[in-house]
Amino acid sequence: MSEISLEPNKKIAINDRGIFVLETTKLDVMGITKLRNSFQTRIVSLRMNIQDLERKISSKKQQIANLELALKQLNTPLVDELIAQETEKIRIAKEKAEQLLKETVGNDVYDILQTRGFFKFQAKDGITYKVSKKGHVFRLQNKDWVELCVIRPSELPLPDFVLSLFLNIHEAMKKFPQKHRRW
Amino acid sequence: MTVKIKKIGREGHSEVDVSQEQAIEMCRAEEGRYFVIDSKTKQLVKEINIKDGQELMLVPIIRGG
Repeated sequence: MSEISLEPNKKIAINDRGIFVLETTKLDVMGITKLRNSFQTRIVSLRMNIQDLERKISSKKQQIANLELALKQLNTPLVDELIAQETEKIRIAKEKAEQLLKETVGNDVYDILQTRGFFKFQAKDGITYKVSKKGHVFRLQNKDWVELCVIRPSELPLPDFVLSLFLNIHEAMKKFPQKHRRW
Repeated sequence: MTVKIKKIGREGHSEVDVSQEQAIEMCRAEEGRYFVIDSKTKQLVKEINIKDGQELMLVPIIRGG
């Protein structure tokens, strides 16, 4: 680093960060007072910032404490037992639904559904439909399978939904009108 | 004689044996949300045609297109 004096109060400084002009100013009483005020204001402002941040930290800590408490309450053996009961209910419901599906569509169709993942049938209006075991339904239209938009009631076990789809389409065709494109 | 009704619902289907009158009432109450199928023939059943000894299925109506 090197310094070159230009004037009594000005210097050029050269270092690895660049070239700088350094100027020194003698402070008078007014300047000192202003500087003191400026420093004081900045100190107050920074203290206020710290207080705000501390308040935010405190609020976040409270949120964490609340969440930890709620989580603790959800981790009790009682809750685990309820979960186990509900899971068992769902399992039984699904088992019953599979059984009903099998009884209603017959063993052969049920086996096809299990192996191929779908089964085809002709509805009362003569149109061929395909229902997948995941609850998707397709209509044969001009040699193409067109998927129909159906809303699955979320609480219905999947095999019950598949069965309901089959019976709805087979018996109540008006609920699945054929849409015609308009250009 | 009773009418056996299987109702497809959220906890798997529920099964109940009711009198012919109760079956008609039950099917009437679910009109618009469920339709009635004869479990053996898989055909739609109108509530006025419900007979003693019949096995029915209440199937939720699903719409689509």
